[in-house]
Amino acid sequence: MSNALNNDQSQLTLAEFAEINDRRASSYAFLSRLFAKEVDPELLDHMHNMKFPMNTGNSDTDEGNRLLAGYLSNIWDGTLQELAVDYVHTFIGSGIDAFSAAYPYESVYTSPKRLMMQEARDEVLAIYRSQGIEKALSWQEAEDHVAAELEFMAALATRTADLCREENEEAVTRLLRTQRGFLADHLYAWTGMLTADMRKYARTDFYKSLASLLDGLLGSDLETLNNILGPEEA
Amino acid sequence: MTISTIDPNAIDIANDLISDNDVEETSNEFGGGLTKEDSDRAIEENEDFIPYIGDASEDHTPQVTEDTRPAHVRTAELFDRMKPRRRELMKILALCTEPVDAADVHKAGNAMQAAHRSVYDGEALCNLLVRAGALQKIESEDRAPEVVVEDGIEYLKPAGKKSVQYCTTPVGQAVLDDDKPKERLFAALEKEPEYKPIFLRILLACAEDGGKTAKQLGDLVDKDELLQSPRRWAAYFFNILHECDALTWNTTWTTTELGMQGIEALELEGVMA
Repeated sequence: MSNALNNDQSQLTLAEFAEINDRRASSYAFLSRLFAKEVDPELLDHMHNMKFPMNTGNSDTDEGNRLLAGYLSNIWDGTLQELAVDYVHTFIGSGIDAFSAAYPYESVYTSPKRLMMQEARDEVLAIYRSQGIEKALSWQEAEDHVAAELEFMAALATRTADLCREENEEAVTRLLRTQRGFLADHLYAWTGMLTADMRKYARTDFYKSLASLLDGLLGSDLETLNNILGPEEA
Repeated sequence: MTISTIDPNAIDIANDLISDNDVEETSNEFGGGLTKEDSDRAIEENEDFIPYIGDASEDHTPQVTEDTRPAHVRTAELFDRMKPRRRELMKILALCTEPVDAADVHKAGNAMQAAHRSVYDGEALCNLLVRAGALQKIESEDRAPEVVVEDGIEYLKPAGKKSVQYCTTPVGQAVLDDDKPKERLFAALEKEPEYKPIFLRILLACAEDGGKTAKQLGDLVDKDELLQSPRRWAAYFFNILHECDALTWNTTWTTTELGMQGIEALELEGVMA
């Protein structure tokens, strides 16, 4: 690998690094799906058949896996409805002000009045467009919804994997910097508050585990990108 | 000091911002004793001003209070408010006099309503009965995931699905025991005895293969002399018979076992259809 990338990863071939980025993309896409809408029967069945690593090296991820595996060990015919109710309770709430749920929008946590569609949304929209990405017509939520931001990271990770396979190191490095910047300036900057609220409002271990899994993925991914790219240039 | 150069209104706003008492006594969404007008004006005059919007560590979720009324009161209220679903609720209670797997009960509840739409699926009806105390959920103990090792790495593998059953409670059983559909039917027939021929005609028609539609029942009885004054229509009668469980709807109106007993009783009386 080139000098642009840190020594920690210097033993990896581009092909191996492509696989790592495929896994990154899968992780981001998986969490995006869990935030985007309620769990459906196929997804629940798929998750029930998954295996969750116990010791990933990240305590948040380990906690999330433990809670999730425990919840999935006790599903029954009424679980889908229970999860649908908790999805609404956690992310939509039943109050009349901005303090009754874990609203999954960056603008809510970064604007003075906890409103949606504020500066954060405009900024991420500009970033998406700079990468040639726009939200799908079927997606009715704002662009700074956590599911959209996670899917954006998944898309960039997939592109990184493709560039690795094309052996375009320069483009890989550029794209990794974009991802680090988006994580540090946007996604990771506000989701700590989201996950704190999720732990407060979620009633099922399913959505409590999602908070830990999100913290774990973003924290470890930012650390990985910093290790690969070295310190940020001033 | 440069106080003379400061807009007096700004001083008032500044005082509100720094007054601990005002923050303690906040009673409006802007806190600190500020009104919306004060806040809007402050934002206009000072771009850096961020109004107090409340403590994000607070939880304003409306608290749900537990219903502590006795089960028989809650159950009576449920049946009173859910009259259009009375039959389905009763059938679920009758199905669960011995413990039954929850999935089977949900499926049965859905099947009961296959011919007529409801926002309440089988599972929702069961939940209502459980909350009322007429049905209880019997769950197996919580299980822990299994630890498996693959290529030296430990994983948590979720256990199989948990066993959950429903069983009718004593309160639910009392509702079943108190239900006397035959008495209800005969009471309805005796309430307006002049219409017994109409009831009999409808029951006989619906006992035929394939049942009868509302239109067909209307064609059968609407022009009868008995129904001209006061004016009555077929729907008046088949709704009464439906409420008494003498007729059931399954894409057409069909006479039930109880309805056949009604036919027998009316014919024994000498009523002519």
